[in-house]
Amino acid sequence: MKKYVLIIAEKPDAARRIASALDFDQKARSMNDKGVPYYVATRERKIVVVPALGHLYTVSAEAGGRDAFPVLGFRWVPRYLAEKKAQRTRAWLQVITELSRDADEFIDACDYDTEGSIIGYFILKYACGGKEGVSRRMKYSTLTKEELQRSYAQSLPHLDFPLIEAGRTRHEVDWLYGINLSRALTQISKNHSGKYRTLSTGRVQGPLLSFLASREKSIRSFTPTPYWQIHAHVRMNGKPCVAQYAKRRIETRKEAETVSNACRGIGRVEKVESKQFHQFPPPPFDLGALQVEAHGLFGYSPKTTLDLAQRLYLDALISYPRTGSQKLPSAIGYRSILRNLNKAQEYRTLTAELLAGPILKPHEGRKEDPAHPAIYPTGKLSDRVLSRPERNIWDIVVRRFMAAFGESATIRSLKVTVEVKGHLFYIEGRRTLKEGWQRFYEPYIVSESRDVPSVQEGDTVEFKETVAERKLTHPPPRYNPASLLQKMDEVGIGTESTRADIIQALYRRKYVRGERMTVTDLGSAVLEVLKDSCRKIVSTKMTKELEDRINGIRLAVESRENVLAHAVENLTPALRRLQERRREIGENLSNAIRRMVLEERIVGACPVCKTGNLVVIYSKKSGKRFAGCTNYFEGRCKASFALPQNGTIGRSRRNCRECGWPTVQVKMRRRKTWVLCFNPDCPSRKRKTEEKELSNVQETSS
Amino acid sequence: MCRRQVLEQGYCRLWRKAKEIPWKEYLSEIAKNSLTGERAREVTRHPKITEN
Repeated sequence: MKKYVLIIAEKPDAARRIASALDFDQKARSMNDKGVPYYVATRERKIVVVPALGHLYTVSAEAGGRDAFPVLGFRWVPRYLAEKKAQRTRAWLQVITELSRDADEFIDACDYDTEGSIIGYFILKYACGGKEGVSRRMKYSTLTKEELQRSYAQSLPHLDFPLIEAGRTRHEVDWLYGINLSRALTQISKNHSGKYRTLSTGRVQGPLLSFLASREKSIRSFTPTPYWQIHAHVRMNGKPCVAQYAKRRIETRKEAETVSNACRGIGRVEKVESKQFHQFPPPPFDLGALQVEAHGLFGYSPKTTLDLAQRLYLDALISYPRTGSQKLPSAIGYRSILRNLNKAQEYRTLTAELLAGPILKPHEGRKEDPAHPAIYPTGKLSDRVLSRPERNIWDIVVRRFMAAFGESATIRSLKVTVEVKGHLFYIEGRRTLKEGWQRFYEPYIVSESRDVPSVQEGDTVEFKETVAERKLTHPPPRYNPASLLQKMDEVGIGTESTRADIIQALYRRKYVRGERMTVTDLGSAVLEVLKDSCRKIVSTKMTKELEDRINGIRLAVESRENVLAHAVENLTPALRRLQERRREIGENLSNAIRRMVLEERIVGACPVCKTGNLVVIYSKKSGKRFAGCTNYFEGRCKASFALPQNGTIGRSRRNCRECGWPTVQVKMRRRKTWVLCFNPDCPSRKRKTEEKELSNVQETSS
Repeated sequence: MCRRQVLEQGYCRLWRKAKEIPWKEYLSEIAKNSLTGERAREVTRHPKITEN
């Protein structure tokens, strides 16, 4: 059989795009074997492009059962051997192995980052029978035809081995931490309560929970203190304005009242200060900045934004999103991107304006990523109708890209100092003189203008009313997924690609809840256990240190063996302490789990005894569910209410509007969510019954 | 949060200076304030908490 070039891509969509781009007619043949798609392209030589399905190999314990710990021996195995849910990958590996037999050239075309490099490396090493040393590497940042053709023609002569070594070490260290600590927590809790519940922690998850818990502690122990702010309604040059008292925060009521009583009548303009400054365009997006912006503008979680950006990348609409760079190298072809975007009606005027200029030079940020530039639009317009969220992400990427080429905005600020009865007040104004880049980023930026009447020093100001407003200090704000992501970036823990998943894991494990992240009892209990037994594990310092050492492998100043030995050195005493204190830890964790399970089942306050809570209970006899009062177990309340037997019961935010009793939300598949009031005599229930009866009668008569 | 923390952080001093109110009233103001944290509120309800 004629030999061919075998290209390994990371995902099926990427494989299809690569094959089409490399085929002479851009019409690669689509093949399928055992449900695994692959593509055949014809160029100077026959090319077969086969996709992976993300990671096909993973770290697994060398020996011992699923519950054993500590486990310090590991090896890389096919994912289907380690994970029950990954059985699909067996066929995938078989097909790749079969295809590799007739190939005489190998190219790794997985995403050019740590994860992509590891995916390609292990496939070439194990599935293709030791071809990692002879394989070439395609490096690209967009899935456009031109870039794929170029990256094939100029493929790198070998894989990026230092990057692979650093990446696999990161996986191995994370596995060591994750598997050992998670198994320790889960086993200790199970041995104590007899009930299984997965508890997890990890090298990054622990410190993250620690940030949240520390913020939670500050919020829970916060005591507000009062202060006063004074403002005056004045008339200046015949126009009404608001003047702020020079001292922004007054600690006592007495002082506030004295000032507000004194500051009346006629004041005089002491000083007029005008400043003009330039506001530079924001840098193009790196992944973190995109996630933060999308959360602020549209409320998308970092994980959602990453998924949306990934889809846009696979459609070749934007460049590779998992990047930490804020740079736009000229090689991406600014003009050609803008010319292509010019075909879209909504960007026509703006792109035309940029293209009319003599030079295109983007304003860039400081952050760099050796593998990829900042996120930018490829210029390609979508062949399909984008969903609203996809469209939103694409739009902010396009507008931010255009804004980077815009001129600085010019803003003038004005500060008028007014003196009245020996007290100073400020009147501040702001006006955008030249919008510059801001026009390109509309509607996502609103230029704020506050006009101040024109005055001169010595002019009089009439004080109409002076108000002392009592305010209270606020507790520090809770983290939300976006601000937590920023914090991770700031302290340098996790990677661009993994941060969103780690935040999601905190929700999945029920360590936190809500958009404004509140640490649950379970989250606090897990953190306390980790802090008591192995404080180092939840410290940012240790995580950051490990992170730096892993990066050192990439720079060839550190070795994988050293990093692993260091990780084991930290881990072993921690596991020993967990074992020694297992009884106490088991009790704490089991109690926290019990409290959380009970809390999850609470649907509202008991309307009968008013001291207990209504919880969902399953009858041991019939298996049916109903709502009963928690005081029943102490013999203090016998209240119980029927619940629908189908659908999901959820806590409702407010009590019944008609009778004030607690309500529950009932969610049923393919039906609108409805609210059920517990009160059997509630007018809303009666009305619903009557409506139902009436519709039954109408149906029968018709 | 313990009473020591309340005092050390000077909340008490600041509040009373600001509003010039007696100790008991100060505690009740904190207890009913929506911005007060749960633990701080628990402290205000503790029967043994005194001005000194």
